[in-house]
Amino acid sequence: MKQLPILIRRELWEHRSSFLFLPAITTAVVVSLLLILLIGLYSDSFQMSMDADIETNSGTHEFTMRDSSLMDLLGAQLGELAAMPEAMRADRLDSLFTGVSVIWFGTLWIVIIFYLLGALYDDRRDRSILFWKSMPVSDTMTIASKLMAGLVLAPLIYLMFIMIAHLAIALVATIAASGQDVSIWDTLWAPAHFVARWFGFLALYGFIILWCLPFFGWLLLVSSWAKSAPLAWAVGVPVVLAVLEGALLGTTFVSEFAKEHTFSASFLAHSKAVVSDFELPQALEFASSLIVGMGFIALAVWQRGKADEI
Amino acid sequence: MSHIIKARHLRKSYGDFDAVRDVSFDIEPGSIVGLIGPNGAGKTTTLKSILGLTSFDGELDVLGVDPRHGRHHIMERVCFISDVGVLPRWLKVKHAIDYIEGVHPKFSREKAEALIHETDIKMDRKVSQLSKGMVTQLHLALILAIDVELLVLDEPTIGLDILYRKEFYDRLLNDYFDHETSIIISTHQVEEIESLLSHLLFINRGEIVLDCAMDELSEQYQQVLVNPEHVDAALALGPLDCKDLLGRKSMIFENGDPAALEKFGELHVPSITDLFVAKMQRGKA
Repeated sequence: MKQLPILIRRELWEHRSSFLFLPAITTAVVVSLLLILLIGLYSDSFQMSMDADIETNSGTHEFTMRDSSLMDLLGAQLGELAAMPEAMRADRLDSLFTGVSVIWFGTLWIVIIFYLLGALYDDRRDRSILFWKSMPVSDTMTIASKLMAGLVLAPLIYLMFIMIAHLAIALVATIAASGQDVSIWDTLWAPAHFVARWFGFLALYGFIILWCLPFFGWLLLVSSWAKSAPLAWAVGVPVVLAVLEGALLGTTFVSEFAKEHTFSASFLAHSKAVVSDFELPQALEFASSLIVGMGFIALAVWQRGKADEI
Repeated sequence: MSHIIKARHLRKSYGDFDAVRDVSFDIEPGSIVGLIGPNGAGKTTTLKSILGLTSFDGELDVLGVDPRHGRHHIMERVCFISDVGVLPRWLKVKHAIDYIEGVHPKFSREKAEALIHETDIKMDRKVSQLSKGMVTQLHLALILAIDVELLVLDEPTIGLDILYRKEFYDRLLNDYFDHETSIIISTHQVEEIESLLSHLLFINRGEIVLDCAMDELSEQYQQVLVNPEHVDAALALGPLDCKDLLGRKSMIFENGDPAALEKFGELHVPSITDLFVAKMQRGKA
C-alpha cells in the first residue's frame, strides 16, 4: 500500500498534459472566451442604442466607446439579475455555473476514456512493460494506481479548474458591479452557493464513476488484452454482441446495459431525482454495475499478469 | 540454499513453435553465467520464465520461489535489464530515481545518483532526449544501485557501439560483481563476455547443448591444430568441428584424451567462440 502514492505520481508524470495542461488551457480559453462573448453581446446591444448618435464616428472611436463601457454593461446586467425574483435568479445562476462546467466534464470524460484504453496497452506497445514489470510492484497494485489516477486524481484536478473558472467568472462580475448600485453578495455570491455546488459535483461525480464502472472496467480490460487498436475492440465487441443478441434472442440487454452505463444519459438527465429518490430498482442496477465493473477489473488484473510486450 | 535457480524440464510453445523444448540447469550463487545461443534459440523465453514474465511448463525454482506465483516477490531480489530501449521515453531521469526509490526496498538513491553523475546524463532530461548508449548507461546505473541476489541481463548491449558495450561490461564487473550476487547474461555476441563468465550455457533450438563451468572447459573440450599427416587419424576420433587454419586442420574434441590428441599437433583450450560455432553447427547437422 505504501507504493500507491509513487505509482499515482508516475501516472501523473506520464499524463501531465491531459491531466493538468489540458484543463488548465481549457480554463484559460473558456474564461477568455466568456469575457469576449460578454463584450460582444453587450457591445452589440449597446452599439444599436448608440448608433443614432455615433453614425459619423470612425471605427476606432466605436471601439474605444465599447471598451470603456464594458464594465458598465456587465454591471447593468447584474442590476437586471438583482431585480429578478429569487427563484429565477437562482435558476439563472445554476444554468450559468453548471452549464459552463459541462465543458470540463466533457473533456474529462474523453480524457478518461483514452487514458484507460492506453493504461495497460501503451507500455506493451513501447516495450517499457519490461521495465515496469522488473520492479517489485504487483499487477493488482499497478491497476489500482491507474484506476486511482484516472478516476480520482484526474477528476479532482478538473474539479479544481472548474472552481477556478467559477471564481474567475464571479470575480469579473464583482469588478463590474463595483460601479453599480447592486449588492454583489446578495445578487451573485450567496445565491450561487459555490461550496454546496462543488460538493454536489463531487458527490454526483462519485456516483457516476461507480454507475459507469462497467464501462471503465471494460476499457481497462480491452487495454490489457488488445494487441492493436484498443478503441476499435472496445467499441466493436459490444456492438457485435448486441447485434448477435438481437439476432439470436431478439432482446436488447447488451445494448441497453452498455448505453445506460456508458454515457448514462438518462441517469444524468435525472441525476438529482435519481440520487434523492434512490429506490430498489436503481439500487439493484447500481449493485449490478459494481459487480460487472469489478469483474472486468479483476479480469484486467489477471490478463496483466500474463501480459508481455506486443 | 545451494542453488539460486533450479530449472527442470522447462517447456514453452508459442502456437506450433517450441521456443523452449526441455531445458534443465542449475545456477550456483556467485556465478556469472553466459546463456549463449543464436537468435531465436530460446534465450529470452528462458529468462522471462525465470523472471515470472511468461507462463511455462516444467519446474522452476528461483530463490526458493516458483516464478508463476508472484513475479513481484521475485523482483525484490532479482534485477532485470532486457535489451536497450525499454525505459519509457516520457520518463525523466530524476523521476526514474524517485520511482524506483518509492517501489524498491533495496534501492540506494545515493549510489544511483553517484553513478549517473559519472556520465553525461542530466537529471531533468527525459529518456527520449538521451542517446541509445546513454539510455543503457542510465538503466545500468539504476539497476546497479539495487542490492539484489540475482541480476538477469537479456542481450543488454544489443545495438550499442563498441565503446558503450565495453564500458557496460567493465562497470558491471567492477561496480557490481562481489561474488555474492549471481549474474545471468544472455547474448549471441559471444566474444564480448567471454572473459567475464564463470559458467557457460549454450542453448540452441530450445535445448541446452552445453552446460559447463569455465574452469572445467579445458577438461572437457580440446582444440587441436592437427598436422596434415594425422588428419585421418584425428577425424576418426570424431571431432565436433573441423576447419582449415593456416594449412592445418583445427579440430575441436569433446571429452578427448589429451595424451592421445597431443600427438596430432598443438593442443589448446578452444575459445568460446570456436566452441560455440562447433556446437551450433553440430545442431544443424
